[in-house]
Amino acid sequence: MRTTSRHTVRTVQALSVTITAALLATGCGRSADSGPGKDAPAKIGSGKAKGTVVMWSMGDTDPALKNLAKKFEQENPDAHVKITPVPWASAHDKLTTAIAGGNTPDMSVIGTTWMAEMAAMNGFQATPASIKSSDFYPGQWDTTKYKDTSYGVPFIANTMVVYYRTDLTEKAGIKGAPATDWDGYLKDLKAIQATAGKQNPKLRYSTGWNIGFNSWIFWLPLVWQQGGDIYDAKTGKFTFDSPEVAKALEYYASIPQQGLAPTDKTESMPAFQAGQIATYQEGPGVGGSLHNDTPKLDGTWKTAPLPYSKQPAGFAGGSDLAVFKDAKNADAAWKFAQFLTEPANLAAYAKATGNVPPSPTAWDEAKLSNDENMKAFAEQLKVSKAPPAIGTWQQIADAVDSQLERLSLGKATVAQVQQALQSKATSIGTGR
Amino acid sequence: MTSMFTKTPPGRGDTHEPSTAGPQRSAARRLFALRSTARGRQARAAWVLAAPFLALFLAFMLLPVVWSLLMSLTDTQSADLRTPLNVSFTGFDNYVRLFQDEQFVHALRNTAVFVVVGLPLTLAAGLAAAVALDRGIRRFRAVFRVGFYLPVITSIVAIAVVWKTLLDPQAGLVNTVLGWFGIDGPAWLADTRFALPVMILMAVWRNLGTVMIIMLAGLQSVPHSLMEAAELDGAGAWQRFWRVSFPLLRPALLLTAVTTGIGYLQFFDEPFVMTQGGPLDSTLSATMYAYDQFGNGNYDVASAAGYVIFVLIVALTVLQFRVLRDKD
Repeated sequence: MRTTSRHTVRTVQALSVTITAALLATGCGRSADSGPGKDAPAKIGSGKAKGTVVMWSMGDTDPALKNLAKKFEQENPDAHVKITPVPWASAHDKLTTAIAGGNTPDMSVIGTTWMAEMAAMNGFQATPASIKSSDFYPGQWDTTKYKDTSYGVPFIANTMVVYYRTDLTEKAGIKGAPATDWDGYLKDLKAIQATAGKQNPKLRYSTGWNIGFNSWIFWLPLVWQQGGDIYDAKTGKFTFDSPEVAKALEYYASIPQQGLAPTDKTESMPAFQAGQIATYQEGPGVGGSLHNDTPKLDGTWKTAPLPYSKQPAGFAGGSDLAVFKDAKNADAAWKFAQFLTEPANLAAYAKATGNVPPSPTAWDEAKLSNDENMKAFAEQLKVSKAPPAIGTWQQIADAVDSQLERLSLGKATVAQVQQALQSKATSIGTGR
Repeated sequence: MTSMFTKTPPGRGDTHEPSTAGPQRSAARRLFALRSTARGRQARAAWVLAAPFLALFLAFMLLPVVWSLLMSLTDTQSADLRTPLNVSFTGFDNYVRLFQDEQFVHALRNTAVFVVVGLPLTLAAGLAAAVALDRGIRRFRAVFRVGFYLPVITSIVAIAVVWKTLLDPQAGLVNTVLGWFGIDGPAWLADTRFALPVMILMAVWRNLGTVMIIMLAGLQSVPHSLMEAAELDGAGAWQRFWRVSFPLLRPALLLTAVTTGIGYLQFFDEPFVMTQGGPLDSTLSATMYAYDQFGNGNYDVASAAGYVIFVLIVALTVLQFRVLRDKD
C-alpha cells in the first residue's frame, strides 16, 4: 500500500510541474503597462485590407451581413471575409473558452453585457482612435468600455419601449399613448385593469412584467430615472443601499403587487397578441414579429417611450463588434469593423434586419423616423445607459433578478432586498 | 438462499487482497523485459492497440479531472486563464465558501429532495409496471412496453418543452381541463410549492421505463419450475412475488437504483429548460449551481461544487451497495 501512495504523490507532483510549466508558457509576454483596462488603442494601417478575416456572428447569419461582407471584398480585392454563425445560446461559453485558450477568430459580434467580462479576460484589442465615440449614442458607446478604455464598436442598438394595444387602451378612456410620467402611467394601468371582463373580455392584466430571468433590464432604468445608480465607478463601491434604489424597488414591485401584471411568468408576447395584456416593454425586433405573426393586429399596436419619474432613462443593450487580442489578421479585422459601422452600412444593416442602428447619423440615413413606431426608439436611445462596466456584472445581475423575484412575490421587503443586494454585490466584488 | 441461483464470484468480500505490485508496473516490465518472447509481442500489441484510447482517456478525462481538483483549491477565475500567474493556492477556502452560500445549501437540499422522493418512486413505479406487464396485461404487452419506454428515448429537452406548454398557467392544457371542473389551477412551474414536485413527477414518468425494462427481463428469467414448485407448496400470488421473484430481482434493483440515483443527483436538464432554477431557487439543483458558477467565470467555486457532487454520488452508491447487494 505504501508504494501506491508514494506513486500517487509522485504522479500529482509530476502533473503539477507540467501544469505550472504550461501556465508559465502561456502566461509570459505580459507587461505592466498593458492588459485589461490599460491597453493603448490599436492602430489601423493605411491602404486596403488584405488576407482573410474570420468573424463570428450570433444567430442565423443574415443575408444583410453577407451582403456587406461582399461589398467590403469588392472595395478590398485582396481581402476575404469568412463569417461563422454561432448560436446565441452557446455563444458566451464559446467566446470565453476561445479567449482563454488563445484560439479566437479575428473578430466577433459580442453581446453588450459581455463586453466588460471578456475585456477583463484580456480578450480584446482597444478600439483604434480613428473610430470616434461621438458618432454613436453615448449609452451604446459606453457598452464597449472597460475601465475607461473602449474595446469595441457599437453595431446593433437595443433598448426597450412600451408597446400598447390601442383597441384595449381606448376602452379605458386613454387617448393616444399612456402617460409618460410614472404616476400617470400607474393610473392608466389601473384604468385599463378596470376594463378587464366587460369591455375587454379577454384582458387579464393591464401590463406584462418581467419577473425572474433578466428582470434587471426592466428595473435598472428605474434607478437611473431617479438620478441614482447601483455602482459608483469613482469609489468602486456598490450603492444598492441608496434612497434612489429604494424608490426604484418600490416602483418595480408596485405593479405586480397591485395586481396589474402577472407574477407567474406568462410569456408577454403571445399574451399581448391574444389581448390578455394591453401593454408591455420590449425591444425593436418585436415589431417585425408582431407584423409577421399577427398581421390582423397591424395598426392596433403602437409604441411609446418608457414612463419615468424624475428624468427619462432606458437600458442600452444590443451587440458590439470586437477584435480579439489573438487575431491573426487584426488590421483587416479593424478595417472591416470600421467599414461595418460607417453610417450608410449601419443603416443598410438595420433596415434589412429590423434592428436599430447605434448611431444617430445612421438613424437619419435609414430614414427610420418615417416609421411611426420607430420614433419611440429614437427618443429612448438618446437617454439609454449601459450597465456598470465591471467583469462580474452578470453575477450581480443574477442576484438582482432573484431579489426582484423575492420582492414581487412578497417574500421580502424593500429594505431586506437592499441589504441583501448590497452585501451580495460587495462579496462578489468587481473582479480582479 | 439466493446463493443457490447466483454464483458468488471467487475472492469477493473483505478477504480480497489488493495486489501491491500494481498492474501498470508488471505490465510495463513485461513490455520492456520480455520483448522477444511471444508473450511479450502479444503484450506489446495489446498496448499499441490500447494506446489511442489511453491517450484520449488521459488527455480528455483524467487530466481535466485532476486539473479541476487542483483548480478547486485555488482562486482561478475566467480572467486568470490568460494570466495564470495571478492564481494563488487557497486550500479549502472554496469549499468553505460553498457551504456558507445559502444558494448552494438550498440547491443541495433541492437535489436531496429530488433523490430521496424521486428515486424510490421511480423504482416502485418501474417495478409495478414490470409486474403488471409480466402478469396481468398480456394482450397489449408490446404496446405498453413501448408506451412506458418511449419517454426514455425521447429527448429530454423536447419532453421538458412539452410539459412546460401543458403546464402553462394561462393557456396550458392542464389548467384548461381543471377549469372545466371549476378548479382554478395553480401556476405550476412558477409556484414555489409545485415546481419541484412537478419535476419529480416528470422524472419518475420519464425514468420508470428504464427500470421497467430491466425488471421485466429479470422477472421473465425466473425459472418456471421454481414458480410451479412454489405454487404446489401452496404459495399465493403475493407470496410467490415476495419470496421467489423479488429476491431474484435484487441485482436488477441494485443496477437501476445506482444508475437512476446517479442520474438524479446530477438533476439538471429539467430545471435548465423549464425554470432556470426558479421560482426563488426552488428548483435549483447542485449541478445547475455549478454550471452557473462556470458560466460566471468562477472556475474555482464551480470545480469545488463539482467535487462535492462527486463525493455525494460515491456516498449514495456505496450506501446502495450496502443495502441492496445480495447477502449470503
